[in-house]
Amino acid sequence: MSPHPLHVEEALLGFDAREVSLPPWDASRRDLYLLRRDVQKPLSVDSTVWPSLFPVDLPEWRGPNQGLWDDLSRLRASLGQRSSQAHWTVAVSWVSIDGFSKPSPSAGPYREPMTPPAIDPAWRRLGFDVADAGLTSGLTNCGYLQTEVAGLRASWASDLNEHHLFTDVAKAFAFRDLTDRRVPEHAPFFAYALWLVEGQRSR
Amino acid sequence: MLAFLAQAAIAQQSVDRGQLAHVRALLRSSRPELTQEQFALLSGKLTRTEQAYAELLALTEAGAGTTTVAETAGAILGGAAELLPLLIAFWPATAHAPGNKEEKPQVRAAREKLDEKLKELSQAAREVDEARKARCPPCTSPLPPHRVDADHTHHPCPGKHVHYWVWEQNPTTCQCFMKDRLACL
Repeated sequence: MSPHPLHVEEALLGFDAREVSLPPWDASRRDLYLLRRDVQKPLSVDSTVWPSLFPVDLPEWRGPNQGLWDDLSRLRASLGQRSSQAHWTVAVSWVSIDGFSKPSPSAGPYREPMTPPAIDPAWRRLGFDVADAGLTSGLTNCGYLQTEVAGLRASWASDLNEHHLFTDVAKAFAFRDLTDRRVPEHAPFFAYALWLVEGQRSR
Repeated sequence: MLAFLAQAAIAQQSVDRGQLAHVRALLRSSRPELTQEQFALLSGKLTRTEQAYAELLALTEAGAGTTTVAETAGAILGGAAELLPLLIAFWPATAHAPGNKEEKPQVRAAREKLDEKLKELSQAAREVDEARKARCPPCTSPLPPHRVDADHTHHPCPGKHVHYWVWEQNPTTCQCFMKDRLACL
């Protein structure tokens, strides 16, 4: 039996090296941005939530999608001295349940050639995130209002794993629809999968 | 700029056989991205740098224990985007590597020749890099207007913030991609 009834397709959007040595979030940030406050340090496609080893304004070409490299080997080669920092190498994919029937929006995400071109079976899926075209997470980086947060926690916290990511893609899509309404300025939101390509040192 | 400085910091350890082998492998893998003239220019400059390095090595025998990164790193898959910043960083960083005041005149001459070849290689890489960047027309399509949001927050902005857009261009295909930027107000 399929783990979920949806017909899920994924398009690889790129790769990044993410830190694993910064301290946990403080309580006030967890109160404002998390549905599971017991998660000390969430993971996300959003590099504000889970920082990249590379700065936002890196002048070199990385790839078409926000902050992501389109070539895994080029990413590794560009790490240079950064490679001595503890980090996880991750891949991000755009998840679709309608066969990518609509073209990429003008602001992304962009389905462009990647190297390697597809998800490797050896990679481990860390979970599903919900974010806008620029990878601003609607799950962990759009502050929850005090008037809404208790209800949202009651409804959704149990669907989030230890990384504060959805494990069930159907739940991720339901949360995407909710986030389109909750933060309309950033809509449309998309469901993304975060993949662990390789980790250096334990998190 | 940051990446350039990082590369320069690596180069400051002075050039060794491993780095030159790495650069040679990178140049080979970059060939499809370079014009015939660009490849010939860089290949020729690199050959003369390798020769100067071999001459210095023969005089000092100092290279026997140097690292051989490229020889142990497996297949080189990087392209011109990796090669050119690396070559540009070869100079002036390496020029300031401390020399040995007591070295023999012929060693000093060989070292200065190597520095000169590295400088020429670096300058050639800079020219190629500039030519490649100039190859793409700028991204001129109008960007969406910036947007000020006040009814939700993003870390680290405590409240009102602005989203604005910038173009980033693939230097190989010249395609333009819109990217989101955030600033706190």
